[in-house]
Amino acid sequence: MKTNALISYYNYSNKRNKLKLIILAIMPVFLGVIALAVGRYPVTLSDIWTAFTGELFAGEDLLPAAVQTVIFDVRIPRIIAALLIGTSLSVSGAAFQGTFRNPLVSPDILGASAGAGFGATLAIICSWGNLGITLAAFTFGLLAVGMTYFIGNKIKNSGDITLVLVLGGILVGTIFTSLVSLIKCVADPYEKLPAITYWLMGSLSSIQINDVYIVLPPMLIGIVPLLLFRWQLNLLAFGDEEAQSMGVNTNKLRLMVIICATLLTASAVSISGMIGWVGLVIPHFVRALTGPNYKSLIPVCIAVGSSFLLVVDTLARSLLPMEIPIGILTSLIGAPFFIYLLANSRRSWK
Amino acid sequence: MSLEIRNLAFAYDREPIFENVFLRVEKGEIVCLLGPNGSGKTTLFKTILGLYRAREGQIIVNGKDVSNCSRRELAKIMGYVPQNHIPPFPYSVIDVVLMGRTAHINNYAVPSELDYQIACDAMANLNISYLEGKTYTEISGGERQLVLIARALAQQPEILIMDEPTSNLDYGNQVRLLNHIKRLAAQGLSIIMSTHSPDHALFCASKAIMLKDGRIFCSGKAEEVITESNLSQIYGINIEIAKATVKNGESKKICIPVVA
Repeated sequence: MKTNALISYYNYSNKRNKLKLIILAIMPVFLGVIALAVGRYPVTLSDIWTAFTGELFAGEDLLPAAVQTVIFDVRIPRIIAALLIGTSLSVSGAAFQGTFRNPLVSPDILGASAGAGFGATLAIICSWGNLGITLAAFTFGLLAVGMTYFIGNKIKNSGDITLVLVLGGILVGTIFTSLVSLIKCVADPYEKLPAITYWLMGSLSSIQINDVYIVLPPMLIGIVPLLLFRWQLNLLAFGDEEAQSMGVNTNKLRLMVIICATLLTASAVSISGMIGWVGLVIPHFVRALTGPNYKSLIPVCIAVGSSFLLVVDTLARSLLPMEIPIGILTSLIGAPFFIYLLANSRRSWK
Repeated sequence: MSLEIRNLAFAYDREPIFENVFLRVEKGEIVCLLGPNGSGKTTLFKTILGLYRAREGQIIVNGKDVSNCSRRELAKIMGYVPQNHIPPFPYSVIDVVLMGRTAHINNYAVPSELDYQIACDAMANLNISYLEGKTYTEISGGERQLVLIARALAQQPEILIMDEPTSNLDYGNQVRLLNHIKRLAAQGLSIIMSTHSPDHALFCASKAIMLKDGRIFCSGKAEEVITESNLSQIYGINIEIAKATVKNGESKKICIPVVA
């Protein structure tokens, strides 16, 4: 009798979660269509319908060239990029928080953002162009985390590698942010310096479809293993020894998480610049929504993170006559929202 | 099932934490490990579990050396019940117990309905089914200890290794826990546990081992090992063992520290 009641409890919570999951899965698509219609150049929902059916079935442009350009060359790449960046930052944040057993960890904990920032700054000052900025940011993001991991393995004298990694991340992050400051000092104040400052504040305004093609493969390589191993991520939260005693090879798993989460972070930062708070706040919000189990946490982070960044980016480009850097908006929204979450969610760390 | 430990030793650097440890556990046996703080109990457990690499010696399960087994294989043989601590995320109790199933499911799979049934059975075995939907970080220390045991049971090991399972429990929960341990041994599990209370060893253990400064001070049947002189020597205090007759006529031994 008792057991039956309990099984139905589990089924009930599963069903409730399933409904949530369906709603969450539709949300990014729904918001994507809305975002397509929002902006300075007026595009109606029927325009969007006509444009898509024309492209798909008639094989010709049914709308004026300007509208076609706004939809297909300006807004769609940007919407896809926003969804991808939101996904990457939230998933890597969630994965890092579990691996480091600390809910206050964000994707730049190992220095990926600082490294990417340096790469982009270097590319701007050397005038390597849009593609150069993306590639340099990506490369230096990976390089920074590689350095952190190398330092961590060099100085771990006993036991807990997570602490040494965090320290290594702070060191490497400091070095790269100092280098960025150095470059800003010597940069041409009329042309290069504004470009650097603007990049560091984060923006999706200059994203083209080619950028999306470049970061899509590393993002996929990063996200698929995290989705597959999502159950085992739970065990890391209980510490290495307990996880090992339950049959998990924690060293391999941690290395995999670091590689995947770094690919995601570096890919996102390399096309968007620094966008703070998303990787910290979204996993918290999702834990409050569907619980801390990575089985649902990772998929829901994809839905919520992508939707969140899309909404914020749409606001960033339509709220004021000028474009607001998205990094400023995410921080302005993220920080107070995080305080709200801290005050209202079940705190388990003290 | 039998577990045999031959001449096991572990050291972080030069000074061994423990050495010359021999131990044999049969199916359904409860072995109690006694020893003062810092005598190497937890380190010994972690070495047996393969979390630390032994400096010398062998760990043999069913006649097979397990030093080259994968984590997954080891987890199916030995379950670990650590001292309870609070994880950083508010997992539900059923999620925590389901984590014990990890060694039995694919690397990239999530627990199935069958795993869920096994987890429920493990909780029912310890009478904690009522905790299923609660949040692990919000239940009492005694309940958390039972959840950790249920998690180890869901792992379906042959040997259960428990690090001071009765510490941090109130008096009633200590006795309830010892009864659970006795019952699990009667179901065929082999149990190795450490404790700071010789009374607990007298209450449930078939064998007792006393560890002092990383060496086995004495080992054997619990009744024979737990003596006034042995206890006085390992803990450095005066202890007397009294015999008491309980209402049903059984004679029980209890340890009484003598305060000078």
